[in-house]
Amino acid sequence: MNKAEKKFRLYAILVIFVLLTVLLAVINGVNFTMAAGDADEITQMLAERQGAFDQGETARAEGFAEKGGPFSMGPLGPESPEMNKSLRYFTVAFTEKGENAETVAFHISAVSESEAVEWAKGLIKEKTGWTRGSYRYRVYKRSGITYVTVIDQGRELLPCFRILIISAAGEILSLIIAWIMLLGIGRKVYAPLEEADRKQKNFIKNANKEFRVPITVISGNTELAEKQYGPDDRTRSTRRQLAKLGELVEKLGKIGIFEASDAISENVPLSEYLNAAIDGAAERFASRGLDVRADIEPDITVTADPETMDRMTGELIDNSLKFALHTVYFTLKQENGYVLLETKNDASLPDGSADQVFDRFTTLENSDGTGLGLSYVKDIVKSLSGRVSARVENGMFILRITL
Amino acid sequence: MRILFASPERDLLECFKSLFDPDLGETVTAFDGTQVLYIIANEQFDAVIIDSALPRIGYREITEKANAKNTPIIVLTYGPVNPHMLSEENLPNDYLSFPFNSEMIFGAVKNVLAKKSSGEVIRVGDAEIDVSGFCIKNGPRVTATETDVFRAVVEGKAFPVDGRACVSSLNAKFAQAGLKTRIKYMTGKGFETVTENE
Repeated sequence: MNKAEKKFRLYAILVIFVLLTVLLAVINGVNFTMAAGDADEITQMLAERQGAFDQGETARAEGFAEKGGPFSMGPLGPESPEMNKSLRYFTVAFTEKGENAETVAFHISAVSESEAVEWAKGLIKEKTGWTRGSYRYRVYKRSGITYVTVIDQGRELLPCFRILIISAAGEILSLIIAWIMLLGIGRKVYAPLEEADRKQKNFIKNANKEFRVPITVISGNTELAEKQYGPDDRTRSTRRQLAKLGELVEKLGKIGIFEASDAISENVPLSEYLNAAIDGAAERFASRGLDVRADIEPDITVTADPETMDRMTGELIDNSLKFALHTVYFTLKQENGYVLLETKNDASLPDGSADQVFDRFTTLENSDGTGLGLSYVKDIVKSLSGRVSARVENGMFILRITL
Repeated sequence: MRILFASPERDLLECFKSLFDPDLGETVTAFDGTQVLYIIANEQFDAVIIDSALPRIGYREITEKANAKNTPIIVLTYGPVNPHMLSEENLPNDYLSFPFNSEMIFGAVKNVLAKKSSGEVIRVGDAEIDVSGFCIKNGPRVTATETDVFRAVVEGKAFPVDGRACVSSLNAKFAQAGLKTRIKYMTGKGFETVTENE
């Protein structure tokens, strides 16, 4: 499985996870909020009745018949005519100073009456809320008397908790199924892309090989023509074009060399390599009138193939030589256990991200490059599990490599 | 001077034969490995140039035969020369990568022939390169380009193209020969030979 495919699966599963979590969070949140709302409605009904349903209350039952119909499930929740018979609750009334307590109603089995009074005392300074997990309470005043009503909502909350657990289990199961499906879909989605990439690389590899001999033959025949008839504008133009083709072929030849299975892996002195590359290009920098400023920490090494490191530093130098207008900066340092290599130059480009420079055959505006140099850099850095980014900030093209 | 030039590309053979003959002497051409082996076994050449994509018999086997006959051989490659190519057991006297012009290929042939007849030995530290023998003393073979890179380092001169690959391969070959001499880049000084553990 390649990295892009892994990324696709991870992103897809993350999106599914977020969507499912949000959906289930909304469903369960609304469910619990409605349960709390129902409980508050019941405590409010009790508050209107000074803390107790009248045992003979039948008005609600009369309404039940009217609300029924062919598609009706009948009144549910607080509207149920069974409410005054099925509710588990108690109400304790306190005098204004809270000294004397009297049980107004007691229809509950979980606690004794005296325990209920103690419980209510603990809630007297509150207003409304949940207590001891599944009990809802309301504190209210009527005619100078403070009432504390506590109702048991355990039976009503049980379906809510069941839905919550089933939702969580369902989400986990859905993610597992989605992951299994993505394994198949990812393969199907990425197989053609991988195939296209493989074909592109093969084409480039073959084209590179197939171009080399014709260029050599054309070059040789041009020489022969010049020897026979003397050089003219046509042969000179042919040579110029051959030189361009030769440069392109050299670049194409480098594609994939760092992916070779026989690549060497050793401690490469990157500081030395970069210094050597900059020193080696001193004349070329000077001929373009470029000021080179290097801040290179000594003795920085990376585990890599020396040849690829050589190519990478070479490409960075070539890129600066092509695009810099006045000044080129090279920085190499160790930071938080990572090797940080940064090149900057005043390439006069619009500000913003410039990550497209790493795409094969992609060049920035007004560039006459082949669009290959920095794609090697990216491939090399990727092969070392590093990161590379490019951006333009205040007219400075900044390329940053983390290894 | 007699040159054997082998490649499956007939246009290439014809073109370079026309370029070689007036300047170098006689050029014999061949377009597959079997032909090359037969010709080498029966004729004498000052140098052999073979395409690495030669059909039927590969360039490694031909290089082995040429080395055994002490005939200088240059292998034409389809990409840059890398340390793996330079570490081959049957190492040619040099590699030259397509595309090239007559100056480059003449230069490569002349360079190899000049080295073969030079009788020169380059000594630095415990390392000795037998230039005419194309080998490190008591060690593996080296190409003409590797020798040029080593000489450039010793004399403090600029590298030829693809010199870095030669630095890596030379260091590996010095290690293989049990030598302590290495080529290293010294900040502010460039490439120098150093003795390990110094």
